[in-house]
Amino acid sequence: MPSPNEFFVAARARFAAAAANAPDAAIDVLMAGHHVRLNFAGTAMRPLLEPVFRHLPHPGTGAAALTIDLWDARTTGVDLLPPSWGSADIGARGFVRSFCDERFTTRLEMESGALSMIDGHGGAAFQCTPDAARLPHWERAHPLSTVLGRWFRPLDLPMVHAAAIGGPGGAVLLVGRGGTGKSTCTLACVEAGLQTAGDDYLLLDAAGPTVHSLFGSATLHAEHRRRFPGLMPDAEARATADEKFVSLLSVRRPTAMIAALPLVAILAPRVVGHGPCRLRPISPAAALLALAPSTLLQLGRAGDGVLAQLAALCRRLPCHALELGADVAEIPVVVEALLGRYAGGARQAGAR
Amino acid sequence: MPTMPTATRYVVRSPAVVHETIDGDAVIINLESGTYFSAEGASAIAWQRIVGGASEADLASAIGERYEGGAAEIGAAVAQFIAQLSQDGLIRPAEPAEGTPATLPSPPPEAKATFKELSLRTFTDLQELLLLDPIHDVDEVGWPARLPSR
Repeated sequence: MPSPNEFFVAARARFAAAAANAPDAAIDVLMAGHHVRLNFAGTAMRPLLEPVFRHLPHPGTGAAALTIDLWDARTTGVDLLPPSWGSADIGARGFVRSFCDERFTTRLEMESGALSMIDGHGGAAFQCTPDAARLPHWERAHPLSTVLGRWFRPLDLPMVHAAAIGGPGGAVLLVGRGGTGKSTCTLACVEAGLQTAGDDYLLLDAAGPTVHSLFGSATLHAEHRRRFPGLMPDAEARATADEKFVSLLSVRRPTAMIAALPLVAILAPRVVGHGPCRLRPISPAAALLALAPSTLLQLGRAGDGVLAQLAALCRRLPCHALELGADVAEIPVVVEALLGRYAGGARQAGAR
Repeated sequence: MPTMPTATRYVVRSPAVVHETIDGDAVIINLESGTYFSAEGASAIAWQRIVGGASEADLASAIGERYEGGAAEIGAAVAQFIAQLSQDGLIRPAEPAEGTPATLPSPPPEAKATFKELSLRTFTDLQELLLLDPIHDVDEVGWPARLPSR
């Protein structure tokens, strides 16, 4: 059985073979100020990923801090090596236990069979997908999240499960597990002209505190499509087999996507469904309870020390529950009023 | 017949369990089970004392100094609380070489509040994040395979 390092080296050789068969252009972006290069082989992966990262700034010349090789077997004709693990090695969320250690993180995406692996010491990673058409909505909306979460964690930029809306003058962090209304708030605010750094996952610089954008996408369910029809035209939705839809905000609302936002408050949305939309102060512990569990449970091994950073953030910023009433149009009004109170307003020229 | 609190000390089952206390409220996450917890008031104080190395007896004493209640009632609540924390995989008995016994500060000067109970709020809504995939298995080669029953 090869070591993780041997497997990693052999897999990257497979990428070289795939690139020789079917070369494609690379993409260079700045994520939280760090130069990340995405190398592609084949014709399937770049069209999926390029729009998701289109809103991010481009680096100047120089070497990338993190290089990720991506290919799919179907259009390159190059499969990954046979796995070196058995079913007992696959843990929660597809992490390959025997190939996860202090240096390497390896994850199998169970729906599509995509394998991603990062060498955290070497600044290199790969993802091999059998067939890009099989990638589920969460992988299309937040590609490479395992690799990026692992890479940025030692840089004191943990990936948090949250959304952020506002503008360069200040923004709120929207926290809560799935179904609490984060996406509804984000999309309502985007359609009202506020900016967002992301709908689901962000990099947190707790010292700022600032959040940095990774993904220029939003995940919509059927109710979101009905409320915000401009974000997912019917024709596109009909072509989607998933129960959720990926809307590329970086394409549909390019001025709404922003690479970084300074945080001035934390909001924990809660769907009430009747009455007015309103704010209610909550304790820092209540905000932490909304933010931390889903963040840490998704980070896995990359979550060491993150809880203390999240707690410091909740202590530092004012925290409110955002009770979502009957009228979604009230959400941006309430959020803008809050931003006006803490940040002197967030709306900037350039926002839609 | 009520039992006397023991001198057993406990430690948090890290790294599987992470926790923070903010403004007197505790947030505790079991990364193995996906269950998370909050504790307020006397329960948060009890959690902090356990984290600080208090024995069951130390804990009963600390709670008795801050809250109005019978020693037997508080002792029973402490024992039950520790049993719950153990059952939820949050703490385990300390080895003799682990940590140091807690030094308990003086009780606060304000009047004692009435002791009610020691308990955690338990949240299980995120356990699905850690469940093995219910739709897929891994084939004999090691790649995902859709389970035949679905």
